[in-house]
Amino acid sequence: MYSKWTEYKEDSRAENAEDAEGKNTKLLNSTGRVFVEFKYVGKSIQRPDAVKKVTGKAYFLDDVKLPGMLYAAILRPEYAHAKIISIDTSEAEKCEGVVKVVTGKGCEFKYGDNIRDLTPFAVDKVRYIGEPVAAVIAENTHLAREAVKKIKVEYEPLPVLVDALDSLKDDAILIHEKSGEYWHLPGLGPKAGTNIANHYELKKGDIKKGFDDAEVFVEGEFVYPWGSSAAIEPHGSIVWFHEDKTIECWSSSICPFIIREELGRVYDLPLSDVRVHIPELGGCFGYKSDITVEQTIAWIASFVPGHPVKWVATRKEDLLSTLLGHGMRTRMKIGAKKDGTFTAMETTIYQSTGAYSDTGVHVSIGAGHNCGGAYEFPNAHLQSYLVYTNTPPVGAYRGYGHQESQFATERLIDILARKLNMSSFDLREKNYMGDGSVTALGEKLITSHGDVKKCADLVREAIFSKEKPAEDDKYYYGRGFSGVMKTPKGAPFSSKSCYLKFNADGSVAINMGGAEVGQGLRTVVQQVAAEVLMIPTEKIKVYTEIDTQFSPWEWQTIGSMFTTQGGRAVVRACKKAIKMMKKTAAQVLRVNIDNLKYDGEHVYLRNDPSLKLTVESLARGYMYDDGMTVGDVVHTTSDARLPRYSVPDANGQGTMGVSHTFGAQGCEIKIEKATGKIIIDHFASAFDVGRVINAQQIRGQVAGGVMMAIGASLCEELVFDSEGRCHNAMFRKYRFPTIKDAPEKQTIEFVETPGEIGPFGARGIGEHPVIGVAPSILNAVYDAVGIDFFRIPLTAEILKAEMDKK
Amino acid sequence: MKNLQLIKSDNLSELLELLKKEERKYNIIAGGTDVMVLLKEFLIDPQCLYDVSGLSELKEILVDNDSIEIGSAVTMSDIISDSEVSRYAPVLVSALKEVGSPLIRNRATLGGNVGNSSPAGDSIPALFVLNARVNIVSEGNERSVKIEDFILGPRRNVLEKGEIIKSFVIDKMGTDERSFFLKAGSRNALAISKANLAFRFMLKDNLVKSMNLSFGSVGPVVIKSTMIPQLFIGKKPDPGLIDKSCSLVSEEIKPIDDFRSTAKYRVKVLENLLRKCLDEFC
Amino acid sequence: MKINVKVNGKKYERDVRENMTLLRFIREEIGLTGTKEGCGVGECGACTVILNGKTVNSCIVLAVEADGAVIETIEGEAKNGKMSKLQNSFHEHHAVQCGFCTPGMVLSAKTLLKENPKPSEHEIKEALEGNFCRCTGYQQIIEAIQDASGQMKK
Repeated sequence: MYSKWTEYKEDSRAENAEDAEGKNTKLLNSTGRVFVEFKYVGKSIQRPDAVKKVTGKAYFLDDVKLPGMLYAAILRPEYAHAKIISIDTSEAEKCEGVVKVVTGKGCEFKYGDNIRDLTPFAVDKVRYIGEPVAAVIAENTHLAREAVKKIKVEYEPLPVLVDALDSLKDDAILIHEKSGEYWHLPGLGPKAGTNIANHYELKKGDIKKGFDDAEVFVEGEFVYPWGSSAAIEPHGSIVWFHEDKTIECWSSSICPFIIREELGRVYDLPLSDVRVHIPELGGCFGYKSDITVEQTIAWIASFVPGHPVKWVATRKEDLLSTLLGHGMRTRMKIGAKKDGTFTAMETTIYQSTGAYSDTGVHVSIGAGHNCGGAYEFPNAHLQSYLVYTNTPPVGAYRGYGHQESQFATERLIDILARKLNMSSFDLREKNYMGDGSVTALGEKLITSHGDVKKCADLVREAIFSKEKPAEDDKYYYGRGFSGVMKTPKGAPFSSKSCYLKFNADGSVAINMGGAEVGQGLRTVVQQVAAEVLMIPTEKIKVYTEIDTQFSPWEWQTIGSMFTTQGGRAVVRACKKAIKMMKKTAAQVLRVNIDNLKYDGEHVYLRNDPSLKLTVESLARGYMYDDGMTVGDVVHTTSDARLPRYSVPDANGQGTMGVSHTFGAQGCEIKIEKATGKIIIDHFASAFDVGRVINAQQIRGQVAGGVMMAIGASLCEELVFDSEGRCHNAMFRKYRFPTIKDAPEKQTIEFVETPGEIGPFGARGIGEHPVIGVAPSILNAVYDAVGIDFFRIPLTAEILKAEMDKK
Repeated sequence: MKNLQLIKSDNLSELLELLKKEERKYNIIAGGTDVMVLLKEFLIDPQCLYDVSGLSELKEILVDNDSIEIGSAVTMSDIISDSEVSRYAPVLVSALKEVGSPLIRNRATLGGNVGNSSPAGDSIPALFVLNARVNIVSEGNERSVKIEDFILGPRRNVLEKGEIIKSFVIDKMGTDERSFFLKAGSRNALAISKANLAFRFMLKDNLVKSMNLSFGSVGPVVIKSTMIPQLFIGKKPDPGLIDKSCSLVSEEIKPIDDFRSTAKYRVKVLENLLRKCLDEFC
Repeated sequence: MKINVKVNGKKYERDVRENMTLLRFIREEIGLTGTKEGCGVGECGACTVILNGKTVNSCIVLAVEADGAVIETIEGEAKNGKMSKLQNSFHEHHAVQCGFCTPGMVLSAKTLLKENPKPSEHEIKEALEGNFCRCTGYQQIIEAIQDASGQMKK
């Protein structure tokens, strides 16, 4: 039941407008809009899973124990590129507790969703330093790791390519000699005879004309090097080949259905015979998406049918043998009129995507088509080269190509502003997208896509409204700003589904295929369902595990799409349930269904509310006094896609954005003169999220994303030498940010321009907080010391050296 | 690490006796914060570990008139919270606060930090300026070595087979002495030093009576500065000497290039640390 | 080697291999899986337990070194089905996202508040510098501890 109408939130997308309308016709104002007060949406409801987590009772992959379980340890190569001449497992086989030693010999299949270039183990050659070469299956992990050291491999080293630009040279060795023969999705694919795994090209308008019309230009090359999502819980997987010829898998992954499809396809089983479980996840941030380690563990497990085989990554393996982020070099040129109006953008992105390209291809495409950021470019020529290198494969990392390419955009805009002798705010405002704008993809925006200017104004107020502190003995001071835009890089068939059932007492259970990784989707599900069903969140139980036997299908939980798409699926499933109850009630009350209303506790006759039936009496159909029962048991299913999500056309354009979240970020920094250390005094973020579902939770998302990107901007980088070896694959050398690196103060604000797709107008936010961090910090550095940087991480060492030169 | 044996005792002489007879490859372990990491990363491969953490003889802090003796197995947390050490050897406390995290400091020991003999060991420059002596024991023998003579190079020291560090004897700083410990690392916690320095001085009638300066993480061993103190001794703390001091840094240290930091940066960083330090001092 | 330990008030006697870490002992021998492994080398703090009153990285302590020790893990924090004030505070302040670092964070925070009942923000940061979190950005964890110590800024 809605309470007193003291506060109104204008919402022309009230999910139960029918009911609200009926109740509140007297409250319609002159514009005819419906005013709705939210009871659950917008509130800081506590997460339903926090108690288990804070008492140590939530169980994660490594907590899973199964009968007869064996443990695997994996041998990695000492060369980043080499032919495998021989593998001698005889010594290892004799070690204590060893059951079997496994290699890639005899493996004849490849896997991958986009470009099928992956094998579960190296077969003839190794292509990167973390690749699986052989594995020991033993009674415990310790014994397995001891035995692995006894495996002897003979290699014939090959030349190593560590950077895309080297891989593109004419005389570069081919990392995949037969890449032209690999299966791939239409519209993608390697260029045979080269190290190019994919080339994406987008053309909007007329680039030549765009540059001819320009009166001023800026260009630059920007590098966002390899990093790791580095969730605190490392990757892990358990695979079990059962005696009944089914496969069961547990994984620290967000894509159980993709794992199921891949294993079913490769092991030639109907999907119903492959079952995947996802326990609690200790963070994902991207690198536990697509299929990563599961095929390797499945290959190992296939040699010991009847036994589950568990493997959990060491931190080193988690850094080097799963998926990396970024590895992107962006060359960008912007043309503009003297008054600041952008006329053209030309971008070429080189992604050093590692030894296998399947997981990196869409990152490069997202980076390409959205590198225009929050701004309209009437003419654009955007290209991404996905290039093989002898380094670990790149895959999804929160932000998905957007922070890497918009790093260039936002830096160049500041540089352009200086060139034009114009305020960078005025320059940005001249070009922000809004109602009537057309994106690079050719999508037309309307007001409900969001208001970047409002976000910019909030950040400007937070950071720039007071005087900048003057330089003193110890510090230089600076402020910097960045716009932000992201759309989900999904797939046209991507859908999220919801199973909802009413229990006999009117409480509800909801199962979905969306993976909770900490982002709080379980709370969102509760709150959205509570709002539509008009029942308290305490009466709604949300799933804690995913099991492909019980959970409805979801493509994978990425792209900041869960609130929008998953939330929409929840709304649809709730509305179906209400309709089912009304249908039964119509029968019992002997009226038409449209004479009935629902208010969370009853279904009742509009014109005589005393004629009513309780939800409890309808949940399992309606039972008369004599026991006869009519009507359906209230279980519903529903799903939701992003409307008309497409694939690129011949110009690389298409409806591949659909749901846009705009934002702005800024910072106040000081630079310690003695050391070059950058201290972030204040970081501000504002995003137009359409509708805040949970105020405290969304704040935590932004704070976490900002922190992650501060790490990337100031200290995190996985460094590979010219032989493809990494010397800092551990936290102390990788420089993971600690609590002492958190900004002194964070301002986090939201604009709510309701969108057209998500529940109550909500849009995605999970990834967006990482996007504007690096450019706002580097823009602030220029403001402080007058030096432009084009690469991150900007460590104290690098900054000090440049400051000394000046 | 498979058939690792742990040998523990609460009696020092018993442990030393066993150690003397030990034929296998061994490591001494106290808190284990270095040894366990080396074991897990397969960088050492001992067959047994001699655990000294239970020896009460190694866990005392004794204060007398002009020195403090700190047992080699006292945890860094306990050293930091000891009121006498805080009062009379603050430079050591400052240095230890830079080691790892509180979780590490609750286990790590001076004996381990010095015994590990890493050029980046934070305690070592502080021990230098406190004129530390290292008391070494073995079965039937005791000897004492100056800290600057104890460490020979990265992960190498003068300990012979059968010997362990019993304690450290450090100066008790006087009331007219002051000290600093400064470190440059690229992240606050768990940072492996890029360069660090320990500085101790005494002023009397505004003249520099004594000055001890040591640099760490800039060479294979910690370096005791000889040229820079000479500039100041007997004179007033003169800002004019700061530039000259900084220019002497590259003569005093022979920095190494490694993954963590380049040689040039280390010189620069050290110069800057020194400048920061002398600015306060002058 | 035989060891005797007290874990969350209960006594255990076990025969363990000398190369077993305290972390593996707690998770596998005692069966308490709330303590996690995030890095295995004492850097991330996910394996934090309280050993004789001090927080330690259990992944770099050998089980045999804990002979005779009193150990507290996250499972001992809630009593009789009721969460502690600190746990409630973490819950209310959304200081928990994925939950993997949470057991370690809570134990480090608990020990801090025991030694320093009203820590400043700086002191909170010093005490928790060995506990890594990738999800929260630390902000709401600091707020949870401030509230639990009666210092919530309004």
